[in-house]
Amino acid sequence: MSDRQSATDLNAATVGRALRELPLATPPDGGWDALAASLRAQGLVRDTATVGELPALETVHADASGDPATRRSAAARTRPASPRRGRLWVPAALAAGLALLAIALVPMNRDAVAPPPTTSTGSIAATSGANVPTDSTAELAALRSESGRIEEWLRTLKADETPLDGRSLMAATEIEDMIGLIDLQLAAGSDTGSDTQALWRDRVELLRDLAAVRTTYSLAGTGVAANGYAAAPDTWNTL
Amino acid sequence: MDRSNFAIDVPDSLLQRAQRGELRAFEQIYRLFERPVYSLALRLLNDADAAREILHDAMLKLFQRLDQFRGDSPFWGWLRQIALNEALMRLRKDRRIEFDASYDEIETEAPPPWVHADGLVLEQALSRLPALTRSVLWLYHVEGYSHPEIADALGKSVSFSKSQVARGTARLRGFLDSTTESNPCLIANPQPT
Repeated sequence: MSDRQSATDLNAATVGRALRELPLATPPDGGWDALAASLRAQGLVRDTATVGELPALETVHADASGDPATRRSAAARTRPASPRRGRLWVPAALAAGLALLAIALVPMNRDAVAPPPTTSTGSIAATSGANVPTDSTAELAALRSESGRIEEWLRTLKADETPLDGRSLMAATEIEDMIGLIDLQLAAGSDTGSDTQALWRDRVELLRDLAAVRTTYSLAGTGVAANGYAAAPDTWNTL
Repeated sequence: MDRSNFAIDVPDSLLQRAQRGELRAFEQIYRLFERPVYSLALRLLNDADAAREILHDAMLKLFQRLDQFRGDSPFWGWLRQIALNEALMRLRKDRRIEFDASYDEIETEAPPPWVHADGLVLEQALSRLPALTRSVLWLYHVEGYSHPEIADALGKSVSFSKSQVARGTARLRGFLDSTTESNPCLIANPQPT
């Protein structure tokens, strides 16, 4: 650093030393507690094994490799309290029903990626712990790709969208909120690991639910998707 | 040049745990860096309440962006930059961007007063400097930033940074000379800041 040497005379050198020898200041107590509260409020904390006052978040962590449906409901419990929270079961049930209907109506390409085993509830089962890391990486990449593909299709649908009815709109809003929550958790976490993989699986599932809500409503009303295109992408992968 | 107060190595395993969102890992990182962050903010802003807020905001921003840290540079340097940006933002927001535009050349054979100054006296003299001058002096001497780096952070020229170091040093010397002459027992009678 030549600029440092040229500017350094005896005074500068000694004042620098004197300043560096000043003791570090100690912040007032309570700083960590306030920060921890902010971290919780923003949903940035995912492992609360040391703080028993956060059972919902602890459940999310404990279920990291478990049933996505359980994880999804646990994730919903971590959301900041909102007026809509109490009616979550309505759109969730509606979305589940619509998803089943969509599956019956919309042909999907199930050959692109072999589906993993599913649980009795129809959700995607957790990846086996015996899987090698490369399998996990490939599945993660496939999940991201699928997520992007469905999002792109939803954007296309939205471009020329007819309004949803009240119930469908409510369901769509709730699902979008849940996707947003997952995005928050993904943003706070690392790029790898079973947590991330399970979150991406949930995200894909929710996007499919959202697509089902939009598509089914459109099919019921007009027989085609809202923008007149095919009711659903014909290249959906079933992961 | 001694290392920065921030120069604390953080184990990769701790960072990874924090990136997974473990609250205890967050706390460990917070405890490691709370004093360097608070001290930096306090020196720049000369306001304990504002420094406490900077500590909170900088740490929150750090944890919000933790997944973006790729390890290309030291973790502490990344955190220090976040803290510095927060403090400088506060300085701009509070319009406390005054700096020392005058410079009285001091030529003397006497040893500079800070050689013998008590830490508290030096802190008090430092707090009397204009905010921007004090910030430049601190960043240059204590945190080891170069003049181009300071100029970049402040949106000023390199010559501005150099002049503020020189003027701040001269002004600091003037404060210390006058206080030790007029009040040799400053510890018993601290000056209001």
